[in-house]
Amino acid sequence: MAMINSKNTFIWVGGVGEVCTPINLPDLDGKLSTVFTTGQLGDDVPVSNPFLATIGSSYVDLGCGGIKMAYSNETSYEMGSITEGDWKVDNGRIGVNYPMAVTLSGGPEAAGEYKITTQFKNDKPVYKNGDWWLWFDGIVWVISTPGLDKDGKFYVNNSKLVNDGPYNTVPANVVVDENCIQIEGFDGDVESANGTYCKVGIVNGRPAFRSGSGEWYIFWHLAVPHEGGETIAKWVLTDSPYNLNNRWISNGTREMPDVFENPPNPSSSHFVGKTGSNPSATVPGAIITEAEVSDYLVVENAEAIIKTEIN
Amino acid sequence: MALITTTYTFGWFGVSGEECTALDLREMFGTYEMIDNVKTYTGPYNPGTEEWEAINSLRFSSFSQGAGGIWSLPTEFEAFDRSGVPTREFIFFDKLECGRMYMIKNPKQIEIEIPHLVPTAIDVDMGRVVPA
Repeated sequence: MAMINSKNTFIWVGGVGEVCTPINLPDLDGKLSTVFTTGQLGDDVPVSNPFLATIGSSYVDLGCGGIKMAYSNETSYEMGSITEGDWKVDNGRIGVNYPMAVTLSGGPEAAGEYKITTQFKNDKPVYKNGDWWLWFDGIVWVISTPGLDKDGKFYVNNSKLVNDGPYNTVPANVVVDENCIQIEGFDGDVESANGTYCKVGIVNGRPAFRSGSGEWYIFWHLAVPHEGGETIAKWVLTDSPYNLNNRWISNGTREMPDVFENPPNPSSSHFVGKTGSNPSATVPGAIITEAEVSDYLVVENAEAIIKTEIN
Repeated sequence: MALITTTYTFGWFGVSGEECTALDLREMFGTYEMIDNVKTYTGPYNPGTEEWEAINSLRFSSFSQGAGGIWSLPTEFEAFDRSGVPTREFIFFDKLECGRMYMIKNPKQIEIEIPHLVPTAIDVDMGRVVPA
């Protein structure tokens, strides 16, 4: 929870290290006077306030993961999980939910780097590469030209993840730089954590992945608590980016996440006794870090030396 | 980096995992200098062109402790005292800096690239703030 300290301010809904829940505008009656956000087409700035929200004339919630411009009747009131902006203060970076650019290659056309634009469609970003657009149609991702629609030429990728390819062009597919992993094996209440995860950005110096449902994340956490008060940097699968404040389970310290299993790895109570893994990283020898290779070589050399000594 | 394609943008400057450096708006869009007693535009665009008109209409806004500030080419034009001496007293900011939020108004919808900018919109979850 954070306080609003200025009558006029920008806020990012979602505070550092907090579980983000949408802010209910009617709860701010008498405190917040007006709030603005940007429409998905970027051609308007929809307004709301506690009164309009209560009578259903405008939006009711301030959703997580976006900026609002807030005008208040008073200051120093609690608003919820937010980060308040100030152009004189560095408040951090955004661990993004979508890649800032997507590269497509091969195929007969539409290859190149698609950059994120300030336009959105069906609650997801729109990307652009010259005359080609990359956008979500509500079910799958689409590359289209000349318009941001299916009136001209278009191809789809059959996925809810933008970098989960290929895009089915004719005669050859356009390949996307995937950076995706599979998680399988979870059951019961956390079965939804299974599925495809694709890289969305970098958090704490390593790739961060998001599931196709948008519910789950895998990221590198710098301080996972262990017994005895010790903390270790490890992979974490969670539904609360990028912290350990809701459902989460930890993994190892290898280059890529492999087996999420409690025990022995720490987790929230939701994952006790659960196991899920990334099969591509659990094949023996599939992914070994440079440090692990060095350790192995040292042991090999040591054994050879000992054998030589014995003989 | 984001491609500005819309009239309105609310964006956060600074993406986790990227080396973030401030964007000097005067370097990118230009400023004014007093040359022979005439305020003269200096920068990468050609005054009078359609492109320059679009750049001239751009507005970058932000807040600090309740006070709003705007950067635009017209604010650069006004950054002189009555005797023509440059003064930046009323220029609140002239850089986009890391870890800040900005509103960008682009009435003529010129397509420009702004590095490190995470765009947002209603009903879109673009991510979470993490420490720099």
